[in-house]
Amino acid sequence: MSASTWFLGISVGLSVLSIFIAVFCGKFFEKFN
Amino acid sequence: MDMNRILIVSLFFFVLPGIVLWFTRKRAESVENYMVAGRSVGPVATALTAISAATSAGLFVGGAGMAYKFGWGGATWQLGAFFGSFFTWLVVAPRIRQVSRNLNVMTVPELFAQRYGSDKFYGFAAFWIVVFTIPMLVVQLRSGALMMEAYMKIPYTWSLVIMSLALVGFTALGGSVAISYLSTVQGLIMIGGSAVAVAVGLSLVHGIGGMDASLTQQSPSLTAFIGDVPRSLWYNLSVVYLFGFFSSPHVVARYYSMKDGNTARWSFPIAMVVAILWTVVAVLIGLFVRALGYDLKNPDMAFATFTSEIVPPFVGILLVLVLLGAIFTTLDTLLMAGGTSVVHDLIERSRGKPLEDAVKLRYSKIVMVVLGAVAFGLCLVKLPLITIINAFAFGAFIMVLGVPLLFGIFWDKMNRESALFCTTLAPVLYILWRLYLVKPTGLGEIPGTLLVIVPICIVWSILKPATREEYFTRYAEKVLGR
Repeated sequence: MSASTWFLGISVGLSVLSIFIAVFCGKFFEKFN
Repeated sequence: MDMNRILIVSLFFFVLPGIVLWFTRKRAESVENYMVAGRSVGPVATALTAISAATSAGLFVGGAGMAYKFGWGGATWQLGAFFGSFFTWLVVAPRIRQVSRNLNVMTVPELFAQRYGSDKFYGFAAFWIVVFTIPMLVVQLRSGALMMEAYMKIPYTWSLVIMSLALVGFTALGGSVAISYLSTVQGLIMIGGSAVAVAVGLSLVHGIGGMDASLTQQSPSLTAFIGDVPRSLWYNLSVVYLFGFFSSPHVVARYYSMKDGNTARWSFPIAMVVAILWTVVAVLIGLFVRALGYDLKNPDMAFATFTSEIVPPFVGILLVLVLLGAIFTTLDTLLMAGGTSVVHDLIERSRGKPLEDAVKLRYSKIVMVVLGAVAFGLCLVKLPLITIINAFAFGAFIMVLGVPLLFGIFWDKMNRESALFCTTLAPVLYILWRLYLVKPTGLGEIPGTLLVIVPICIVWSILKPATREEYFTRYAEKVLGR
């Protein structure tokens, strides 16, 4: 895979993962309440 | 200077901040609102304020320059910053908010004083904050004025006067609560401007595929993962930015302002998307200029070339606003962090008794005017020492604040002595490493110093754990409820 695929893939991947965690792992953030 | 420029400068530096000050005028009358925005900021404002505080002109100008020079290799090290941001927003920022609220603290030195049970931290940590914040202010202010001179054709001294007046007037009068609102608006302008610029750039190079083909034609190393970037530099930069989002005092203070755990939850994806967007935009701008075949003597001119020669004038103006926004949002939070530390950690502690709210607010405003005036004066005299200290600031904050903060909030055993070591001797070791040990060891000063101080903190704290000390019991009662 080329560097551009890695870089943009990881960028999009981390963004999507953060959205998934926020949407589906609400219990995790309750620990910090 | 034509009317359009006068209009844009007035709108950006005076009308917009003026409207924000008007709307927040009542809320800026309490100390908690003024210093930590009343711990009531929602997810969008928290994410945009913190990310725009952490994003200076250096990302757009330097990030584009490095990508222009080395191709994708000059961009991939930024993945370290992405993972750092991910880790920070997932666990560090929510924990900082929780601890700061339970301890009812307003600054990083105060958090250390309560966690490690010693008032010495007020002096030591606040000293470093002030020492490094002023040069950071000067460098940002200077680059903002130079940019206004280059793009808006306003003479340097007048640019400096306009920026300083807007900055000091706005920050001193509005405090943290006004900063949150203005950073949100400026952040949204930055998102819009950078997205338009990338869309235009992509159409010019015929997409990522077309750009890669052009880069490979110039040199295959431009599309390699690390390419011609020196390996030690690539690894050093990757590591450095892992820690960046929880070490700088002006960024950490933004986590104190979060409303609740739910804010931490939703600011996480917003911050990630925005931080990644701005970094990708900076990188792509450098790559666009290279792919289009521009031959620049100074790689740091890539952003300026893209803005003034490649995109249509309207997009160019948007990009200038992106840069001005990046500078202003960093400047106001820096001034706030420096001013808060001077009044809350130094003046108030040296008196030995709390200041009345009205007096504290008045002192804060006076101190911010003084700090702004000092920064303005230093911009005019152009002392080389300021640039040198600024170059040390980012790494020094990792040693002085980042390490004791991270260990302090996540590892109960972290003891007072290790934290004191970080806030006193670690920056000295860091500076010595930079001067004398980078060449012989091949290790950059930040990973090198971390490899020394982190094991020292761990071993020392295992041998003499804080959990056996009285000061930790008091902290545990407040934060852990035990």
